[in-house]
Amino acid sequence: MLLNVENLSFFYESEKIIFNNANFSLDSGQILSIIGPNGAGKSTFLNCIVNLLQPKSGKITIEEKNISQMNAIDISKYIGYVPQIHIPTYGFLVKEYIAMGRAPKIGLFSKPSKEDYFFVEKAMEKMEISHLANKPYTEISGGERQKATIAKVLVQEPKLIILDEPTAYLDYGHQYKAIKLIKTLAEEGYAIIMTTHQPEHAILLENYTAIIDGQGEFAFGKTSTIISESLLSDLYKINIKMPFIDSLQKTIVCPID
Amino acid sequence: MKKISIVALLMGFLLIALTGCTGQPSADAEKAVAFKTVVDIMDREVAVPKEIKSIVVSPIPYTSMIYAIDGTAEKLVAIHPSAKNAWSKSMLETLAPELADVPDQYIAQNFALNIEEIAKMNPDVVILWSNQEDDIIKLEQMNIPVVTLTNGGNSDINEMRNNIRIIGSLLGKEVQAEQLIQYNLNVEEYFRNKLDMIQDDDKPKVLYLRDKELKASAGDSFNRQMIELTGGINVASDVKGAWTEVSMEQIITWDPEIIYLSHFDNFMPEDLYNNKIPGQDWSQVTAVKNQRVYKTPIGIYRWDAPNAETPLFLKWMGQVQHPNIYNDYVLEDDIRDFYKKFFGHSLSNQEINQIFNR
Amino acid sequence: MDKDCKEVIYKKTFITTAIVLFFVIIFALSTGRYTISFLDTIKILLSRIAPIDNTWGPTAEGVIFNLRLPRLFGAILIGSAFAISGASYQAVFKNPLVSPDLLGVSSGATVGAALAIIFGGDKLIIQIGAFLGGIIAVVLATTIPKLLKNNSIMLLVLSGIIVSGLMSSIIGIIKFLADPEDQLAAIVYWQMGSLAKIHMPDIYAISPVIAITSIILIAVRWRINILTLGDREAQLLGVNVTLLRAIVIICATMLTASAVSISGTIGWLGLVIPHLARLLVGPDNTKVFPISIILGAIFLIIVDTLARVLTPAELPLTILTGLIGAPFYFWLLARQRVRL
Repeated sequence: MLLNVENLSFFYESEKIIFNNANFSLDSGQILSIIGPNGAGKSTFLNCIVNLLQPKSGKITIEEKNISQMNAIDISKYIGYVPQIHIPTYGFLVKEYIAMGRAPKIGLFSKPSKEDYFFVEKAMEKMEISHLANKPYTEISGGERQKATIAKVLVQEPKLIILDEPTAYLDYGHQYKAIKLIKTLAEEGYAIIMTTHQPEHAILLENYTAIIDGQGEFAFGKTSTIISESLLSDLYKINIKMPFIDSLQKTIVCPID
Repeated sequence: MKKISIVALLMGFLLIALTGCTGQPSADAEKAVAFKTVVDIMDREVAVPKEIKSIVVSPIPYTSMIYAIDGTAEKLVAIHPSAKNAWSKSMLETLAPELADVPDQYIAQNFALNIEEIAKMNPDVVILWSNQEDDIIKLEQMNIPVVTLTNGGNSDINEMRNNIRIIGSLLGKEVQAEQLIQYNLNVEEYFRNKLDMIQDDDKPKVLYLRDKELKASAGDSFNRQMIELTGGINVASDVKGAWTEVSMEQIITWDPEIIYLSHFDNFMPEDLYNNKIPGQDWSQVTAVKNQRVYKTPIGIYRWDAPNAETPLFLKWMGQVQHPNIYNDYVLEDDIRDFYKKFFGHSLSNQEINQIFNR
Repeated sequence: MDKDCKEVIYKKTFITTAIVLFFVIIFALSTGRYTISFLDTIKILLSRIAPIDNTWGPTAEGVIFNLRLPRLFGAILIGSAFAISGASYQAVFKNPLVSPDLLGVSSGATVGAALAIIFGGDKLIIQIGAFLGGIIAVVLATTIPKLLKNNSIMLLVLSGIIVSGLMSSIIGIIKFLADPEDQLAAIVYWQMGSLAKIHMPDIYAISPVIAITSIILIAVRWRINILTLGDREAQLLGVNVTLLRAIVIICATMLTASAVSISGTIGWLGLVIPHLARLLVGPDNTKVFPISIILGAIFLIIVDTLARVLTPAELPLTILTGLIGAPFYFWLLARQRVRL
């Protein structure tokens, strides 16, 4: 098993529990979507997984190694992290930006070698952004930025990729393309954890879904079994129907009055 | 409600302030006894008490000048910090030990006065440079008499004599003042007469340095006039101002034959001979190569600025620059005579050495 | 071709600026109030390594070796120190507006140096005092945003202003207390920035510190790139953010302090030079740092030469760097359309 989470709990003050007793495991090629209302603690949960936050109790292991005993370099060899899109201060070229993903493999006093840039070129080809290589990262579109950020994670060669709301700030078409890309990455053998505000995305990605409900409960299960009309209605405090559309062979999520 | 009380409070303060102000002149009126009028350097007619008992003096050399004219420094109640500093290094410490306790913290380095502290002392007169216009107005508003003098650094020897005359009439010591002026005139006359004997080619190139920052006596300076009166060429005459900072390379370009080091800084000829000042290179300057760097003497005050001993300063410079031409007086004897005549003091050999920084 | 165009630009820029630096050095050595011809300057320099007949006399030689050469070394060391420390601060605070002046490091270092002068410290003590003052200033400037729980660029800039203001007041107090006959002039010299008092022992004193800290910063300059992405991303790329940032801030502060300890505050350099470097070669610090070093040296040599030549007196450097730097910075901002 690649990632194992046992009895994970976190709270800032004892009265406000973010999540309690989270248990799950994830293997290569599997996708975990995390859904939950605003401020429920999805990002907090991700921060615990990557060891930026210390959980109050419980244990996280990667390939049987306890993450709390690993240093930043060790963790970065297993986990790649795609943050929400933001514009950095300086306009590094896209290729320079992607090359930073090689940091765990480059010594403290070195800079990327030809070989490192070979990885960068491969990742850009895969993300179909080779033509942007010499453009400043600050001057490309949101969708392109996300592809560049994913390329940066790919050159890091992790086993688990974590994406924090990869579809936020993207237009409708790019959202769908991002979901397809994530599916492709899973098929290539990466384990994926992502958060999203769109239950449809979890349904599209199938596999597993976890729910952080903002009341301190953590639920995990097969997407097809865990996501239900009643659960979503409770979670988002609106009435939600999930009809199966025969002509599309798909379940859709639909809020109704 | 709250607003009204604040307004009331403000009114109260205003009232106190107003009554405080009106209280002042009545106190002055009581004090007024007998007045006389002194005309200062700006042609202001100033009414001062006939008998002056307390003086605040801002111009640095005039602490010693008042001693030279009045024969005592006991009337001084506040002086410039630099005057205090000079006192502790000069003959004045011996002649006027009473200055030890005179405060020097009420006058800033830039000559500005702490008016409130001065008002508290309520001196009979305050002596200022004529360019201290703001302080003159403020003191007049406080009904404190102000007598002004011409600024020393860029005045000439004649203006200095006028200053002496004003101090003389202020203190009722006209006779002593006139004697100082006469001595002054005689010495100037002596040097003017001998100036024709010196060819321009024989005049040495002279640099007068105020401090390690290389402030030199420039075109408008008193020291330039003194150098020229004693047959020298002031190398920095083309530079504007009185004391103006110049660069080391500029000095090397001028290549002076004689360098004077003022007493405003603690540098000594050895500092130049041994090239001890960071960022400066004196090794190729003629004056240094020929060991012709001189520390200016300090009598009852630094001879560098216009002061009571300026005639002695001229005599000293004359013999440094042209020992063969100014050969009809013995400098040390003249200094002894001057101290005997004006200060009633017989200089010991040790004191002579002190004056010459030996 | 397109792929490598930035590399080519960098190499071209590096070579061009290096050549310019060389000519600026020769020009600076042959220029001054004391006239020495260009040819004689080169002869005098070469005479130390080759047998050339002395036709210029000892004065010219003294001017070159004792007056101009120490200042030239000083200008190179101090110019590059301010430039590289400015580039480091701008990277580590993810903010192109910060500089040794703006963070209050320069004024903090001046306070430290001034205190050392008051207590009669020697060169080493003055250098240590400058460093401590600089570190205190940078810690204060970065703590204020933390106290207010606001990490915006604006607040860092504002807290820099607070710290600089505080430090200038302290300098004011020190000046007030300083002995006017002796210490005051030295402190004023520190405040205005000048290379007029530099002599070789100063150069020997600061060059090891400047060399070591510059080498460390140059060595980690690619890692510093990663810091600009933000703490979180950097840490998830395996970077020990706290340690790296501490190293960079300490090195940059030591650079500023060493420079300040012999030349006083020289404004604008640390702000403008890294901007110019980025304009030429892009934001990648592997390129920005070397170019900044060269440009910093060129800029300060030119400014110091102007300070020596323009008037018979020495002009304070901050006056000139401000006159040149302020309009230049405006031009840079206009060109880059910097976002705040």
